[in-house]
Amino acid sequence: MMPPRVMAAARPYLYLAPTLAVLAAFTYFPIARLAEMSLRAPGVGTSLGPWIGLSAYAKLFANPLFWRVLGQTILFVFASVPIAMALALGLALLLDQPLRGLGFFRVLYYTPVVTPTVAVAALALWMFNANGGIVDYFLRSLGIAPVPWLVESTWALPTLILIAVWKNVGYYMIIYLAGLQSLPRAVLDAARLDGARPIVRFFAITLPLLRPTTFFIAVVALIGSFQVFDFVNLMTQGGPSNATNVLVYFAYQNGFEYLQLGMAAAISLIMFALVLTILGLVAGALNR
Amino acid sequence: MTIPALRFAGVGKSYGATKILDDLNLEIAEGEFFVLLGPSGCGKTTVLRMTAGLQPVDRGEIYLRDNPLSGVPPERRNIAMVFQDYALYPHMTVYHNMAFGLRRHGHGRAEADARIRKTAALLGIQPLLERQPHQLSGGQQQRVALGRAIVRDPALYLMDEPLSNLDAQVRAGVRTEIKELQRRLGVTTLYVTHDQIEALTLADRMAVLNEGRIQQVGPPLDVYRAPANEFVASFLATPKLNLFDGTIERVDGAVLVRTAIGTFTPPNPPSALGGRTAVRVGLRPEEIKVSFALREGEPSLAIRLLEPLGSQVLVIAERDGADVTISVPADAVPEKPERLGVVPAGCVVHLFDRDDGVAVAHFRSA
Repeated sequence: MMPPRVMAAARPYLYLAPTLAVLAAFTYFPIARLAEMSLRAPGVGTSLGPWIGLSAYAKLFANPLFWRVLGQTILFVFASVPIAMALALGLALLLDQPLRGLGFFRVLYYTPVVTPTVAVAALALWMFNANGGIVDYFLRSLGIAPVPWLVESTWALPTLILIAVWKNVGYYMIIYLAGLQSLPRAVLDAARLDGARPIVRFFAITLPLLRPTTFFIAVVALIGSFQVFDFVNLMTQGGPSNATNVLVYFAYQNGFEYLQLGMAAAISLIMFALVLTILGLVAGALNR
Repeated sequence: MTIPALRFAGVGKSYGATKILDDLNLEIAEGEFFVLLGPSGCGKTTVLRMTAGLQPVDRGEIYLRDNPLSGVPPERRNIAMVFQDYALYPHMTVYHNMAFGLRRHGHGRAEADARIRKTAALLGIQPLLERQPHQLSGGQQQRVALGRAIVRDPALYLMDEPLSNLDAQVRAGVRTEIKELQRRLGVTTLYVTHDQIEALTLADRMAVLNEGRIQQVGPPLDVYRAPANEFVASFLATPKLNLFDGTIERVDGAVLVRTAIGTFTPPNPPSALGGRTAVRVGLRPEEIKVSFALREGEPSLAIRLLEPLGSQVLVIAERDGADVTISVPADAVPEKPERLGVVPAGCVVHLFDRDDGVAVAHFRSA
């Protein structure tokens, strides 16, 4: 029988143990294993070969494609996240009005979020089709020349960004809307009586008060965008000529197409470190 | 004739079919401390919000120094409001909470700074200027909220139950402070509360509001002494007004008011009584005289409960199923009293019409 004091000290850890066990088995152990994989040569099947140090990283850093993919990933994240968040906030502000029929619009904007990615991708492929897609049809009716959306390198990544924004904006909007509706009304009223016009109220009061909401959305959006894979895999397979290749898809290619598990592991770890750093910076900036 | 600082002319407000305010007519003089007293849901906060411009007026017009306010957005009304839950900007320091309105109204940095320092000194909140609202106690937050209103030197203060979130002890202190400040600054103030003590202590004049209609307007003591109807009398009685059915008897030119607890005699027959034979009789707990020394055969009331309040004791007594609440000085109450008698002479009696509750007479019984 343990002395009571030891029991009391051990009790919290006992309660934490099941969660920790699950996390260890399915998260921490795989990360450690990933690190190990990145430092060893590929073996036969799932076994690992001899230790080769950092040579996988060296090879990766020497590969211009890696840098290009990294750049494209960062571009994808830092274009799609701010655009989607700004749009979501704008829509939330519009929908945070005491008007009739708003429920309908809330549902409308949220629909893409609950639509399966495969369906969204299929729909987007059809809409952005270079041969008679509906988007080009509308552009042509406005007198704008058709755009080679997913066919040409310069347009492919922006098109993916557009689709990702469309898919995610409803989710961020709902969270912003909840944030807006929980703002203390009296504080905004006080700002009005203090002489603040709407634009001043937004920047001086609403936006700062929404900071916890913004922080939450930023974290969710950044993690989600760094991990973008489904749209790339379903719509472009990284093409044309790697123009839409991003880190997760690149890791997937290396691991499962070229069977370079060490390389895939190294890419994954680099991304992990990158996401962690960026989240740290965002937390520092927003979560004071 | 001087122009009133604030004037409500036939102001009305409805939500759908529900009338919140009905034909509000009121004039508040320059520099006056005016209290709007009423139960929750009577429309008093709506009056404030309409004056501030936070809610549109459906009918009628509000004039600030003779300028109609409809169409003027809140940000251009030169009105400051103190909110029930203070509504400080949570992400700004006390200093910036006060600076925000000044800067928006076009005051330069240096002038704003001078004004903030002066107001902070006035309220004794200089040490708090660099703090954030969440680092302040309720009383301190309330003081900052007052400071934010005062610093702008507006044409009008609106106060929406500013004391209701404070502890009883802090409340009395801040109440005194608000009154002193208002005296000193002389800015017209419209103050809304459901607390009769606040109304009586703070107001130069007050209005009692019920179900969107003004019941009575006047200096607090006038309203207290001569409530216009049963509602006002009830609302200005702590803990409650004792109401009885009374019958009028006329004997040799004198009038007797008979009730379940005793018979009261007005010194002079009230002219407004007319030919009534039945009235409602209201007596406030503190306006009933009692005796614990009963004579044989004298009608008396059975004491059900004693509630000591310190200097006073609330005695709840009954007779023939009628409850009476009486406030008695603590030192006048004997040990374990069982019965008491109402002494009509000296009781303050309010008579109301039995049908519409309108006051008929107020008198001290002979």
